[in-house]
Amino acid sequence: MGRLRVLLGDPDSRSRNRIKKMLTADGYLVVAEADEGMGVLRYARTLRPDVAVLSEDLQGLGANQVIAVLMDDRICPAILMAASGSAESLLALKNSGALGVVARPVQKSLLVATMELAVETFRRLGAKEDEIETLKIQLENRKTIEKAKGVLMQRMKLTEAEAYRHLQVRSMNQKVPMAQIAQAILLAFETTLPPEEGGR
Amino acid sequence: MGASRADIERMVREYNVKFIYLQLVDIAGILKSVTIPVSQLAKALDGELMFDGSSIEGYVRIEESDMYLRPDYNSFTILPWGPRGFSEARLICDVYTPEGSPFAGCPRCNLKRMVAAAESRGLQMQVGPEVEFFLFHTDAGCRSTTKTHDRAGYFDLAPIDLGENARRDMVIALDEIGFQVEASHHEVAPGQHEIGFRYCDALTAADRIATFKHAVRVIAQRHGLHASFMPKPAWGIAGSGMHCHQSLFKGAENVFFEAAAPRQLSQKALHYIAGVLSHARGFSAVTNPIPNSYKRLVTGYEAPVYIAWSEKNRSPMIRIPAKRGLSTRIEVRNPDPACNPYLALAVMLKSGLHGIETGLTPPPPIDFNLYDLKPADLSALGIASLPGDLGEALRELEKDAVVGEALGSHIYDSFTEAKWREWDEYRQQVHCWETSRYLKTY
Repeated sequence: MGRLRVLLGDPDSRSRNRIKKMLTADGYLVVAEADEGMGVLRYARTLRPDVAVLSEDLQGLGANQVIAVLMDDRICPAILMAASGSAESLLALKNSGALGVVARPVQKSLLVATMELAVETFRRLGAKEDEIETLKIQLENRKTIEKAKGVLMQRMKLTEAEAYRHLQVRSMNQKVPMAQIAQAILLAFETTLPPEEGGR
Repeated sequence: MGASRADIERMVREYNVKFIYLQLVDIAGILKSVTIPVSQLAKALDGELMFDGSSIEGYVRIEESDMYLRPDYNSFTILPWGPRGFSEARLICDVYTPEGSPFAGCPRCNLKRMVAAAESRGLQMQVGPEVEFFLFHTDAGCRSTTKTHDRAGYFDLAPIDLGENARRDMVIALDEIGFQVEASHHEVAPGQHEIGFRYCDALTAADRIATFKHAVRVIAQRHGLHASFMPKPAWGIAGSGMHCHQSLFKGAENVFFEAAAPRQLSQKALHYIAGVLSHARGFSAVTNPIPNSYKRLVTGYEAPVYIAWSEKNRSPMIRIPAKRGLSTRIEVRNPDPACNPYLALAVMLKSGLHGIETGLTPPPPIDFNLYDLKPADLSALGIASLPGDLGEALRELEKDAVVGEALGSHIYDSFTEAKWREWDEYRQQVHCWETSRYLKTY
């Protein structure tokens, strides 16, 4: 517990002070306070906080837009402070992109737990995204290698195994990833076709 | 690129595109778009989508408002700054009349007309634009201020430069949509940035400038900053220009280059320079289209004031960069990013071509700093100045039939009408400077 770096976004300075005191007392570090959405983004980008605690009525750039940027660019998770604790007002924030919601008046234990949960969820989401990214690249590489194999089979009259071996040997000899070798082969193949248009 | 209909349909499926922006630029150079769901794509690609032209500044009168959008397939681009989960794409469109001919009020169609005129002589214009802009902070109401990140003191302790970071993201995004960014750097004034992109043909260059401004604004906002292309956003600092490097090609050959000629510049290059210089006063209203533009064109800030050319000095309007061979080019330095890129390129191309057609000879180049000269010396050298304000520029435009022809009568009429209105409105305003200076004195 403690030591998370928090960015506060709330148009109301009294409410900001309250929350800041609450968090500081528990060992959290409020790294910056912004009173409008664009300011939240500027602080978030420069200070890289662990979590943003935002008021749902953020002015300028709205809370949803701010959260979309924070999530898209994987800066930090956000939790929202709803105007009231009614089911209606809390559920209205369902599609906000926030990883947690607390109602006003803000209860310290709930705020702290929600923040910690959001940070943990964000970390896990990030790990999954990394994994997906890696898989995507692998898939792309696989496709390129398959295509290059096809070209080699056709052009050099090789069997599939021979074509693969050809790529593999080149990759090992030149210490270059196989996908890169495949890319080069495809490029060479394309450029041997008549060019589409004259160069500049 | 060279995208076909099938390519577009494949990419729409592959990238899970949900919305497509059909973009066009109005006479003022503002990017407008009609957003369609992907279900309308086939109709849009057939050029069957209609829009109400009267809703766009400077287009048409109410009674002739139905216009058709004809997308340029080559302009199909997946926008990298779209939301997560699905993609958005854009197509740049030409505007056509219901009778099926290019609409005379469409700046893009008009530039195509000029490009075709050059093409009829076997010449292709190549343009490399360098666009400058400012990144400003916003205030609580999301309004832009003229505070830059460098001056906004409370960020001094932060390890990350907000503006540099934003610019890096811009370059990445532009790269993703196929721009070849040549250079991107911090400019003279605090908070000022420049991104220059690689040479391309005139139409592509104009498309890119329009797209560029949109991309820069969107990405700046994602960094909590406001990007402004206003030519002179604050007194006392350098303004933002849009230098246009340009050359003419015949196939793969640069016709501005001639190895044996003095300065290795061909006769055609000299005629082109002479043409641009001789119509500079006439086309300034197009390349520098707002009252504020003329506050940039003052001495002391690397912005041009005098109509001259030079190989070395940056004070004249045209500079000849040192590179020769295929890279031989002229850099026209007066345009600013408030201009409509389609119109600006059309008038510069036309002026240059006119110089070639009539065999104009430019005055000798000036290789010293013109800012140091007195008005008497300048007039002795026969060096004229660019117009001092938009009113003067508009009067010059009215006198210049060649520039008028480059715009076509429809655009010329709408443009001058709107610009005179803008100038009169500005002229009649009482500015802050006046009240702060005179209210108590008189």
